[in-house]
Amino acid sequence: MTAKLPTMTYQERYNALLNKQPTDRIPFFHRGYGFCAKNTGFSIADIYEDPEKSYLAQSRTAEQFHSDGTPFYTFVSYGSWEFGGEIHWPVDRYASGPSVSKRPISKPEELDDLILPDPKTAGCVPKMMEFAKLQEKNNVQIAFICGSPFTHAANLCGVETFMKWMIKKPDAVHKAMRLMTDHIISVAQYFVDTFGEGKVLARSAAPSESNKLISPKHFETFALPYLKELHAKVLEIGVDRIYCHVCGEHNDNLPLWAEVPFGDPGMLSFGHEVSIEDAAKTFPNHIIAGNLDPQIIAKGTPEEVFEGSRKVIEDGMKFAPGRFLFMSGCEIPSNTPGYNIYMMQKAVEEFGWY
Amino acid sequence: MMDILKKIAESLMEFEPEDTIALVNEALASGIDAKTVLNEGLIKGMDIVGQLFKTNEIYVPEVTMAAECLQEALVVIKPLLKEEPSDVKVTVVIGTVEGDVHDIGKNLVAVMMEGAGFEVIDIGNNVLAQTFIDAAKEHNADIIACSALLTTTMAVMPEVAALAKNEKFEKDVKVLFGGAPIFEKWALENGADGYAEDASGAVQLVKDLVSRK
Ligand code: B12
Repeated sequence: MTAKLPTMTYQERYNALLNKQPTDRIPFFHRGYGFCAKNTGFSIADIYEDPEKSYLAQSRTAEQFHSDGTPFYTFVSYGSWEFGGEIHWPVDRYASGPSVSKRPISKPEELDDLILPDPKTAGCVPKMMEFAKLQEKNNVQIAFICGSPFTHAANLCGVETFMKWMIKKPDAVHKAMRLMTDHIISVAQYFVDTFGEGKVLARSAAPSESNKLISPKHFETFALPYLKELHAKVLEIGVDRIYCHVCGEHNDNLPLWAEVPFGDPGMLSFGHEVSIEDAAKTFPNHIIAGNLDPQIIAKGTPEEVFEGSRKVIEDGMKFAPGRFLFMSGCEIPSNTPGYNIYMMQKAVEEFGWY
Repeated sequence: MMDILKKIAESLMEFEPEDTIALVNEALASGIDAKTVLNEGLIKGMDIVGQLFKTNEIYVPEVTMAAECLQEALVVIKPLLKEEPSDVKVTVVIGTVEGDVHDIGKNLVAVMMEGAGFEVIDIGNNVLAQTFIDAAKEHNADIIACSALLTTTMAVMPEVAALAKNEKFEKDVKVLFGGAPIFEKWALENGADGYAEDASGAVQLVKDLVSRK
């Protein structure tokens, strides 16, 4: 057991990371949303539906596992409710996140009738704003959901329909991408107006454009141009920087991602499918986060979690020294044993000192 | 004759359902029987699609469109198929389990199974364990195929298997598990009769299980 003790608070560590200053140890984030709810005795629906409870569940869990991540609001099905669809809260047995119960559109023609919603009242934005006020009050990073435009646009009609349109109705895909990009920009403006320039972090996740689903060619045609535009625009209007979770198998998209601005430094996290070495080399100036396989954390033995963590931490410190954040490769399932998260923490406190 | 069947197979990757239908009609008009059109044209075509997907030469949008071509052509072909005593008809009930809305993988498995000539009853996503059993009874199925993409919803699969074991079906119904977090050892230990990693594997698995019966 190491005798080392931290010399920084999580806040000092986070600020130092963003300012490219040395930190005592690598920052660590456990990354579980439903997990925080279960861990603290709340329901999964609470964490999406009730900002107060959600904040509490996340901050207490972070405290418990010495995790440097601060509470945030997220919504994978974003894009549907915001444009007039309906959402079903995860109240049923086994439910893990909100799901779409009614899509705003199902046919390309219906795109013409969609209007840009008022960002102040659209879908989950009021909850996200309420959450951001809690972030402000508690003096932690204020954040809003900023895409990815492709993942959210696909939620308008459903991923599979969207995929068919990519081949048969490319104009409809571009139209949906245009709408979603403009919507996200309006939300960014609302947050900057509310909290001020340089104060808010744009958070995004890109699962639906992974190479598990689409080709790098389609990524380049349908996702990349809007990502570039959106990121440049939100940085221009005063968003501090962008954090993006490059979710899943994105290896063939990596050179294209390198064209996207994220701020200085931006933050990118990766799944276990992308090696920390490749990520660090593709983005030599940004903060790199990742990437222990969530499956190992959820189902592995404590020893496997500890060993897996060690390997990732060593890679991170070798390939992205001073700009590495250790986390799960993606959201961990809500039924992950807490002891396995403790094993991640233990590995950080054993191997993560600079 | 070979030429037109080859064209039908290849047409699935042109993503124009009308063109596939036109070729199927042309083949039928030239006197080729429906079963040959199905087996040597459409099924062969879907086989190629499955291989290309497996080797990452094509992705979900392409498979989904090829599937649409196949499905529209099946509407033309199916009424013309004459059942023969030697035919092995396989009926599969497939769905994504309760609590889980991930259905892209399940849809691909369903379509590859259709492409292999099985009768596929897709009962959608977020399906209760009992609903799998009810559907299998209603359609006199040979196979119940469950898909799950979440480690939390994996837990529903053993429930389906247990219900199936206790149920009195007319046939010896086999239960399959699949989806990204599932692995063979877990599936077999938790009541499955079989597991496959991907859509092409799922087709082969069904063939193996049915021939063993
Ligand atoms: C697209 C996607 C979504 C879409 C789903 C859209 C849809 N209609 O399906 C949306 C955005 C809605 C979504 C939501 C969520 N998702 Co999601 N999603 C994905 C993603 C990016 C791709 C999944 C996919 O379609 N793969 C492509 C298909 C072709 O592959 P496949 O499904 O594995 O299928 C193949 C094989 O497994 C097999 N197979 C599949 N079924 C069967 C069945 C049988 C019988 C057989 C034999 C074989 C077989 O054959 C298929 C073809 O070869 C993955 C991450 C990733 N990159 O994999 C996460 C992922 C699956 N999601 C995840 C999570 C956590 C969620 C949410 C809980 C997030 C949240 N907090 O809200 C929600 C859950 C909603 C719910 N209640 O289900 C996690 C699951 C973690 C875990 N193991 O528990 C993943 C792995 C991401 C991660 N965190 O790492 N998601």
